[in-house]
Amino acid sequence: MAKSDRLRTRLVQAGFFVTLLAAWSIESALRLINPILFPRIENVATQFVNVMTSPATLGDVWTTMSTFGAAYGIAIIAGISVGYVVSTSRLFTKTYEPVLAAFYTVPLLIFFPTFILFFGTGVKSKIALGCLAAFFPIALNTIAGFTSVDRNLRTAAISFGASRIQMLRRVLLPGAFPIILTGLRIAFIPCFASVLAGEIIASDSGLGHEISQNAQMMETARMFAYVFLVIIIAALFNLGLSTWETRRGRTLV
Amino acid sequence: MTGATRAEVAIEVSGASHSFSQGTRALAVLSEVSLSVRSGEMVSLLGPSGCGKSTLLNIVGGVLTPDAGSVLLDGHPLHGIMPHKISFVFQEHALFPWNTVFENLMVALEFQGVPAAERADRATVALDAVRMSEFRAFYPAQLSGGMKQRVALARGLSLETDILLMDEPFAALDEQTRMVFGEDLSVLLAKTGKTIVLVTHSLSEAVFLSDRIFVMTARPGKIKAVVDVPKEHPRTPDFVSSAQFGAIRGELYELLHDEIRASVESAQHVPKRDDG
Amino acid sequence: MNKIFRGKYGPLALRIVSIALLLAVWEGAARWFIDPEFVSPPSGVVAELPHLFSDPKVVAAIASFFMELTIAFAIAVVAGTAIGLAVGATPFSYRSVFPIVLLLYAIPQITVLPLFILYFGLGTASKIAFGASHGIFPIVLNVVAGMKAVRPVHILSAQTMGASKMQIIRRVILPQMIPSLFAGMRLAMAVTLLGVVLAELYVSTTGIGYFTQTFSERFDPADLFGLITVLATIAIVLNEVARRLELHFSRWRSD
Repeated sequence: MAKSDRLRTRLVQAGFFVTLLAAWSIESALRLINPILFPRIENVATQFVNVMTSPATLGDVWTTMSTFGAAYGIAIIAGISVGYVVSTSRLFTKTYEPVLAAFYTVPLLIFFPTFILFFGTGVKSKIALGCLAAFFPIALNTIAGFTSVDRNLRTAAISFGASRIQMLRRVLLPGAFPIILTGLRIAFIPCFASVLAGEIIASDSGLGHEISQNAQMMETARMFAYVFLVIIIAALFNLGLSTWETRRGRTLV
Repeated sequence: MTGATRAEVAIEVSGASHSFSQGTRALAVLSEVSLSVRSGEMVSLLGPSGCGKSTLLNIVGGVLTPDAGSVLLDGHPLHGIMPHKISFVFQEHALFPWNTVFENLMVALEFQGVPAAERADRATVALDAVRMSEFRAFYPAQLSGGMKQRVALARGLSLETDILLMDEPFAALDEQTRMVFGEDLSVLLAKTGKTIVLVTHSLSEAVFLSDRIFVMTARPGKIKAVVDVPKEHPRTPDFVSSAQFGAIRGELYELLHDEIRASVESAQHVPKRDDG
Repeated sequence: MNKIFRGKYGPLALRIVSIALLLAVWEGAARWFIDPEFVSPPSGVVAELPHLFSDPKVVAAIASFFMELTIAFAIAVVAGTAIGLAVGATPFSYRSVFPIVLLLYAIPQITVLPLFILYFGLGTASKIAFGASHGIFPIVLNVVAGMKAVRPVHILSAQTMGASKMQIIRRVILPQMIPSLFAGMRLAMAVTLLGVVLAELYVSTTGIGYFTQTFSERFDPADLFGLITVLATIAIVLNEVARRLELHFSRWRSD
């Protein structure tokens, strides 16, 4: 996107956001909608401040983020390892890559009940779910990345007498890196969303749990506050990622 | 028969000028171009890249209205597109890839407003004329460049217009396909007696196909010279190796040489209007 | 290994062997090593299936799930196409509305699930709504992309032949959009499925969510695995159908 296009997009988005807030304020003042279904803007604002200043919130944020971090981290290690092993042989690639791709299309959430069966409603079940969600894009992109390294480069390295490890470090990893990175980037949202989903569906702690709890208790304003908190965290992540990408000088789709 | 015996002027361009705006600047592409094409003639617009020949063709076809100047068709002023009088053959991209060869022709006839009952016949006749009947159920992606151009030509012919405008129809073809296509074209067009304006940057093509060649200058384009090719159609391959051919081609080269140099050395690039 | 699994059917054979091995390990571990309350061997799952399907409530839950999915998908496609056409129609509508679509797309939708339940209740309506709200995005995005991909030379060509605006839409723009639409439908199927599953699992009082919860509480892994296998199979089959349809309608594409 050209710079002016991006600016224009941001302006439209900002304008939309401002319009929404304005409409919401008017609705709140006029008391148009049932506050249980759709809370007043001032109540949400109050609750938001309350949530942000409450000490328990830090614990919830930590729970959610650490769950996400663990899931993402394990998925990276597992995904890249498996991806690398599969990529080493053409036979393996042809055999297992379609299998991984097929699993990618299944909503992995359906396995969540089994994780609850194994791990209970604690963080482990969410780590398992998030890990599963992130595993597939990372593994698939790792395979794609390693197999995309030009055969000629590999042949040249072998002819120079490179060992397996040297081959990995000097030829394969640098070549595969951008694509693997894209995989990490793609895996991000499913992982985070899965952790949240797990917390909303069956959990005893974390931000998702708070959202679900408050909804069930009809504390809609407080629920909205937590939703906004989650959205802000997600937006910050997105921002961080795109800034990092821009700094590196490339935009990975 | 070619236009030598018919004196009516089919197309008359007077003082056409046009420029495109690039940001804040205006780029003059054509400067006071005047030409006339007799009914039944085949003429070429020949010039270096960027000289405005495609723009001129679009003006003649009513796709573009010139900033200044006028176009008359059979004495009547041209105001816009005239699907019943003029048909276009663009470069190969103009075939609809989601339709088969036959469907492409049928759709064109539908656009022109031909009654449904007549369409199939007209399409079949046109495909026969270019010898592409056996490929009627093929998709454009399955055809070679030369075959696609033949289909595009068939489409243009099926519309049965008096005037046919062709914008570098051979540009995407390789040398050998071009030779064969040129011969086919010559035969075909001699039969139909249409008025044809052809845009090309190939000297050989221009000499082989045209009755007259309008040589254009580098941008902003003007008509530098008009060269006659007094040989009747259909023209055969041995025309290419004749002395007459060589002489005319040489004359064109001399006229164009400086213009080509000038356009190559100029820094600007004008994007073509119909860039896909 | 390469020597054993040679030829055209090599990968397929290796896949079968791998799955067989996996099932064997699973069977062995479940029978002799792991607590039967947590894991059921494949043989147990298979044996339990008839029993699972004999319960009319389970069958009803699965049928209900399938119906919700179908309706949600249909809504997503129809609404998404309409919105996409409207957004992509003019440069102005594109520039003013598309950024809003992108903004909404960036919000993790799972967070508003409790809200949907609050608004639409615990019944099928909330699941359909939530599923459709997921599916609508890939459709809109792909329809808009398809419209943008229309090549100006095709429109110009049609105009010179005398085509009216309606004819250009019918004969030039829509046919170009169909491959993109079907690609969007493939994606929409996957995310609508996800949305409906999410909603179903969240509501543990009826439907599939009820049974997954019950089977977990009963420590009845055979039934639970069985149910999940059924859902996974539905997902894989639907996705494959969507994928083939997409391939079929993209035949004319050379790129």
